[in-house]
This record gives sequence, C-alpha cells and structure tokens, in this order.
Amino acid sequence: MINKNTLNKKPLLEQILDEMFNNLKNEKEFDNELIEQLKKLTNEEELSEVKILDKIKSKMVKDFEDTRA
Amino acid sequence: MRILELEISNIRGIHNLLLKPNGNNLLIWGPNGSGKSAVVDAVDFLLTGKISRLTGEGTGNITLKKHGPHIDHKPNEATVRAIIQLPNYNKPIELKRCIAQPHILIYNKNIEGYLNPILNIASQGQYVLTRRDILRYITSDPSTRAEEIQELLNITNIERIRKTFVKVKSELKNIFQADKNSVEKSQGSILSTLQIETYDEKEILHKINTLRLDVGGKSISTIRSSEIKRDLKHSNISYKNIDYDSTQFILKDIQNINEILNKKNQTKIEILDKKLRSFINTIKSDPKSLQVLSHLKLVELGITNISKNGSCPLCDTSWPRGKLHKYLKEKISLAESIKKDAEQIDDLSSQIANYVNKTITSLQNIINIKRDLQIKDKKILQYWLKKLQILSEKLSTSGEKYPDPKYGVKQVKKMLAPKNINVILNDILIKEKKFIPEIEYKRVSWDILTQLEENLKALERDQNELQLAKLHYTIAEKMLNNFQTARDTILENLYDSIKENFVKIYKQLHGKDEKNFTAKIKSEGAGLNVEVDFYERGTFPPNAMHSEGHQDSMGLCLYLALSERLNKDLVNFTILDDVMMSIDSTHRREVCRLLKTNFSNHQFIITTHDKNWAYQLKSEGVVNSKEIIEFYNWQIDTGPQINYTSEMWEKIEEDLSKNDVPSAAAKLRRGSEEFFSTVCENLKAKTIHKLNAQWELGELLPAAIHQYNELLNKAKSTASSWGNKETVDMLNEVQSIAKTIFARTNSEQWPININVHYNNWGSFTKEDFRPVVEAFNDLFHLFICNKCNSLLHLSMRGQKEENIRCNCGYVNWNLMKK
Repeated sequence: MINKNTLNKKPLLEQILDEMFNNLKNEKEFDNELIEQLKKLTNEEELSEVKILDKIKSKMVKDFEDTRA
Repeated sequence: MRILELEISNIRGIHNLLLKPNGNNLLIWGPNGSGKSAVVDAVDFLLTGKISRLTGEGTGNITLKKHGPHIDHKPNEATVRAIIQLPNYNKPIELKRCIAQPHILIYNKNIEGYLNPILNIASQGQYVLTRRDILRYITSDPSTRAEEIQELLNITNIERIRKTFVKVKSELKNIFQADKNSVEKSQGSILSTLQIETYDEKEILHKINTLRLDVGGKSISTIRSSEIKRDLKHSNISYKNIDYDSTQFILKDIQNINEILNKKNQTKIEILDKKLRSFINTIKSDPKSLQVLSHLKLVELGITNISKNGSCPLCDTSWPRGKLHKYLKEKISLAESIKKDAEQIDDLSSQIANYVNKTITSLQNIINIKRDLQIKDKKILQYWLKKLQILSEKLSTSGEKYPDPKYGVKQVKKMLAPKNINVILNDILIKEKKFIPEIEYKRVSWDILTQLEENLKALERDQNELQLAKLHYTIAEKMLNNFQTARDTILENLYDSIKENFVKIYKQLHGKDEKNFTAKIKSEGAGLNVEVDFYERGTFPPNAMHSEGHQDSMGLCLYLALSERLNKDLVNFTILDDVMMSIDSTHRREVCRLLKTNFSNHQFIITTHDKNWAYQLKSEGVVNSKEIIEFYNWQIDTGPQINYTSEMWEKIEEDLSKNDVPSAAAKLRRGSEEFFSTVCENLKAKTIHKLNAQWELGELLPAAIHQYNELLNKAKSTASSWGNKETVDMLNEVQSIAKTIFARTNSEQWPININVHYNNWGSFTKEDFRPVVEAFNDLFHLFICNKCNSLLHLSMRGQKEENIRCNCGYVNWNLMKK
C-alpha cells in the first residue's frame, strides 16, 4: 500500500491548519477544548460556517477569566 | 503512473485506436483536425470522468454524453481502456471507463489502496498542458493567475476555508457592532436621565451622589445598578399633594428662554441672519429674478399646454413652432437656479424663526401663568413679545418682508435678546423656586435614581452581551489572522521553491542569452504576482517585455516547475498538447534536452501539428522511432489514418519480404527526406533556399554529406592544433568509415548515373535494393550518437562554430582551434 509519507509532504492545507492551531495555543481566547473542537470541524470534508459559529458562540467569558487573572 | 497501452473506441474524432507507448514517451503528430486532441480528451475522460474541453466558459449546451462519443455512436459504445503501471505495484493494471456511465471507473478493486492516491491526483487533470494553459499562467492578471495556479496546485480548498473564516468573522463582527450600538444607546439613556452631554463616569458619579444626597444617602464610588439605591429607603420620601405644576412650567419656560439667550445660540442666530440677508440681497438685486420665480408655476403649467401649432395657451398668440417651448424652457432653467437660492432663504428663515417662535411660546406662558408678576416687568415682557411676533411674521414671508430696513443685524439681535431681560427672568426664577417644597426635590431625585437604576440595568446587560460578543469576535478574528499568516508563510515557501525550480529550468532553455535570469513569484493579496528579469534591466510581468516564444517557454517552465508538486512522483506522466507553437528550433532543442535529462523518469505524451518539432523530438532522442505516430487524412467514418513512422526499417523489411520493392523504396525515400531534413538543420548544412521548404532527397543528402565532411575536417584540424593525436586518429577512423558508407549509398553517383538514382529505386530488384537499404541504415547511424541515440548537432558560440556534439556528450568534436 502507498504510505501517506510517499506523498512527499503533508497536504498544504493540513500544514497551514497545523501551524494555525499551534499559534492559537498561545492566544488567551483559545483553550484546549475550543482548539480541539475547531480542529475536528476543519477536518470535516465540508467546512461548515454554522458549526464554527456555534462552537465559538458556546464559549463564555468566564471560560477565560482564569487565564486573564 | 505510466501508460503502457491506450485503447480508444468511439471517442470524439476517433473511431478505433490502439496505442502502445509501453510507459515511454509518445509523439502524436499530424495536421490540425487530424484527431490528435481526441487522444488527449480520451486520457482526460479515463482519469477524470469528464472531458475538460467540453466544460467551462462558453460550453453551455455541450454535454459529455451528447458530444463526447464519436458522432455516429452512442454513449455506451464510447469507451477508453488503458493499461497502466503504478509505482510500488509490480503488475500492470487495467482501467476502463464508458461515456454511458462516466462516474464509474472499472478496475480491479483489490488494488484500490494503490490506485486511489494516484487517481486523486490524476483526477485534478493537472497532467495536461495546453497552450491555453500557458497563456493563463503567463499573461493573465495576478488574481486569475493565482486562481489557475492554486487550482493546479490543488490548493483552492485553502481559499475556500479562508472564505469560511472570513464569513464567520464577519457574522461575529456584526453581532459585536450591534451590541456596541446597544451599549451606546443605553449610555445615551443615562445621559438623558441625568441631563448631561457626554458619558463621563466622573461626572455621572458626581450627579448620582448629588441625587443620593438629596434623598439622604451617602456617596457611592461605583456606577452600578445595584449600588444606585444602596441604603436608601423609599419610605423616607413622603409626598404632599400640592399644586406646583404652574411653577414647574414657568421654570421649564425660563430654562428654554435662557437656553436660546445663551451666547452660543445667539452667535448661531447672528450667523444665520447674515447668511439670510446675503441670499435675499442677491435675489432682490435682480428684480427680474423675483418675477421669474413668482411665475415659475405658471410657466411650468404653460409648457405642458402649448397648442399643437405652437401658440400660447394663455393668450393664443401665435409663435413659430417650437419657439415658445424653447423660450419657456429658458425661463424655467433661470428660475431653477433662483429657486435654489429661494429654498436657502426659506431654510434660513425657518431656522431663525424656530428660535423666535420657541421664545414667543415660553414668553407667553410666563406672562399668562405667572401669578405675581410685577406690572413693570410684565410690560417689558409684553413689549418684547410684540417685537418677537413682528419678527416672526416678517421671517415667514420668504424674504418678501425681510429684512425690514428698520431692523439691521444689530437690531434683530436686540429684538431677540433685549438688555436686562436676564435680570427679570432670574428674578422670576428665584421667586418661583421658593414655591417648590423641599420634599419635591427629594421626590424628583428619587424618581431620577429609579430611572437611572433601570438605565444602568439595561446598560449592564448590554455590556455583558458586548463583552461576550467581543470575545467571540476576537476568537474569529485571531483564527482568521493566524490562518492567513500561516497560509502566507507556507505558500511563500512553496512559491519560493517553485520560483527556484522555474528559474533553473528556464535558464536551461535560455541560459545562453539570459544567463542572469531571475524571477519573482509572490502572492499579493488575493493575487499571485509573477515578474521576470529582462536582460538584467529589471523585472517585469512575463508578457511585458519578452517575446511570445519566450512567454511560451516560461509557461512550459512554470508548469514543469510546478509539476513536481503536482505529481508527487505518483502521476509521472504529462500530456503536452501542442504547446511549442512559438518557440524557435534552437530553443526547442534545449526543450528536448530538458525533457530528456531532467525528466527522464517522466512519461510525456506530446501532440503537435508541427512536423519540424516532431522530427526534432525524434532526432534529439526524446522519442525513439517506435514511439512516433502520424495522424493524417481524418475521415468522419474512420477517424485518423495512422502512419507508424517509427517502424520504417521494419516496414521496409516487411515490404521486401513480400517482394514489394516499390513500397519499400517509397518508404526509404520519404523517411530519408525527413531524416536528412533534420540533419541539415542540425549541422547547418547549406541547401538551396526554397520558399515552400520542400526539399528532395537529392538536395538534402549531398548537402548533409558535404557539411559532415567539412566539419569532420575542421575537427581534425582543430585536434591537431591542440596536439591531440588520439582524437585525430579517432576522427580519421570515423572519416574512413563514413567514406565507405557514403560510397555504398551511391549518392555521389546520382548526378552521373541515372540507373542508381533514388528515383529508380522502385524498379530495382529485391536483391539490388537490399544493399541500398543496409547502406542507408548505416548512413543514418553516422549522424546519431550510439550511446544516447540523439542526432548530432553543430553548437555555435556567437558566430563561431564551437563543436559537433550529441546530447549526452559522448560525441564531442571540438571546432575551436588553439
């Protein structure tokens, strides 16, 4: 079977998303839970705007109060 | 993936065709309309389930099922079958697709794991390069080029995701903005309740504490709804049922008048008055203007009622046809500009009148309601009222009675704000305030605090919403920004590596004349900017300075630079569909070398209508003779006729075995003409100039042999000048062999002995003709490298002959003397 590695590198989109999520880990508005949920959504075949909006809107200010303090 | 065999049945212009490239390069050449592109369409259909040329812009009513099959056949009769070789799988695999079921690719499902990654790449259709593609990469605007190249790189999904992130951000920004407006509105309510102009927390807190003090509370330090009435008890405030409405009214009216009398408003009124006078003076200075204005309605009505013969509808005076209409139109046009001034007059009058009328209303109230107004004060106020009423009436006449010559700007100012009127009003205010019981202040303060409490609750609710909306918006914004930054970094790296590859490949083709060629490939906004060096005079868009031929080269080089990315070593075959149209023969040779050396592991299927390019590909060894197919004489029923040029020697042998010397002779003559045409081109042999470029073997062969001998002698003499005895010996040996072969071809005898002339080959016996065939076979090999099979060619350095060499360098006869 052809190993995924034989396709030279990771697809560009995957590289970009990896880089993006990696950088978002340092942003106070992003906790691990949110990053994981967004990762799942961006992995889906059709990226749904509505689902992303729902996920973001589910975050409460209090979720980040501790990190702010 | 390489194509070993391709069978096309009833697709586009092809009826039945079986090609067996065996994984090697394949050249299909023939005139326009001979069916070459149908081969490209067939491969396209097999791998993608569609025919790209039948989709896209301008193909609205064209469908695969209707227009994909050969014109006389049904979709279920239109099939493409191929046998391909996959990397990492040692057995050939059969693929088949039928236009009746274009979405179904038939293959052995057991090899799905091997095949799918390859089909995923192949299904993008990136393995076909046409001239149209080249123009899209090179001459299109940056945003179109970005789309094309991103599509080629299969990175359009990146833009799709970015757009989704943009939409998410935009949606959350709207919510954030709406919440921000709500907060501002709530703050506005607080300002209104407290009667202050700007939202200054210090001032608000001061006001609140003043109100709390009124109702017996202590100061607070924060503005919160829960704090507003902290420690205050409603029962502390008792109401007395007293009539204080009249006092409230008087206070309000005095407040209104004081507001109008303040310096700011008086200055404003003075400016308005000056402007008004200026407009009125302009109109009044031209009496005709006023007349025109006053007649405007009549004229407008009149112009619509001019009788058919052109006479006046009012007095029946006869006018030449059209003259009255023109006359009235001029009047209306003049009136229109005056009308604008008149409108300004109305507007300015109305603004001043507004102040005057407000003062009148409040003044009337004070005079009517005030119980103990002193007679003297009352008279002053009444006199003022009368003056204001006169002013108001004059202002209402659209400038007809204004300005009154009696009242200049100063007088009007006095009319609006007479001297000492403040003193009278203040007296009244002080007296009236005495009527308001202290308890009422408490009630008012309590009411304001109650109102403020509600206002603050709304504000706090809105602020919470805003805080949440801000968080969500920030998340979306950071997600988009980080995505874009990551995209830019990764794509920049990608474009940099493509650029390096592009420059390297281009320099291989044009390095002799553009040795310091550089390029820039940068994404800019949504576009992809490509600029190339022009003979070290700066960088320009590819289509700005370079010739069409160079642009074609660039398109090819950019595609080849991208191809490593595209194919990922899985789909290592490419169709070059008639892409070399504008490139000259010298650079085509470099293209051949490029394909042969840099892409030796790549299978190219090349179509061309250009015979010279076809021969060049063959002579340079990009395709060997068995991999050349000529399409000609296309007929609607049969499709193209095929000439397997490649098999010339085999076909001649076949003819001879059937004792068919005429056919064998015709093939040898035609093949030799093609071959020596290229030899003459490569060695720069001198032939008689012909406008139609149709030379016969009798012209080509002597020219080729003559040039060969000349160059060989030059090479020997050069080797001697360098003292290179070994080379001299080798060249002597070559010369001796060549001499024998030339003699065997009888070509030197053609002009003097008619019986051995190639025109008479057809009448030779089989036994007589066979030695000719063998001699020509050996003759061909004199001009071909034994190692790389490429045709020898003469390299030039400027105007000087540099060397005779093959592509691999095995043959290299120096022509530059010491």
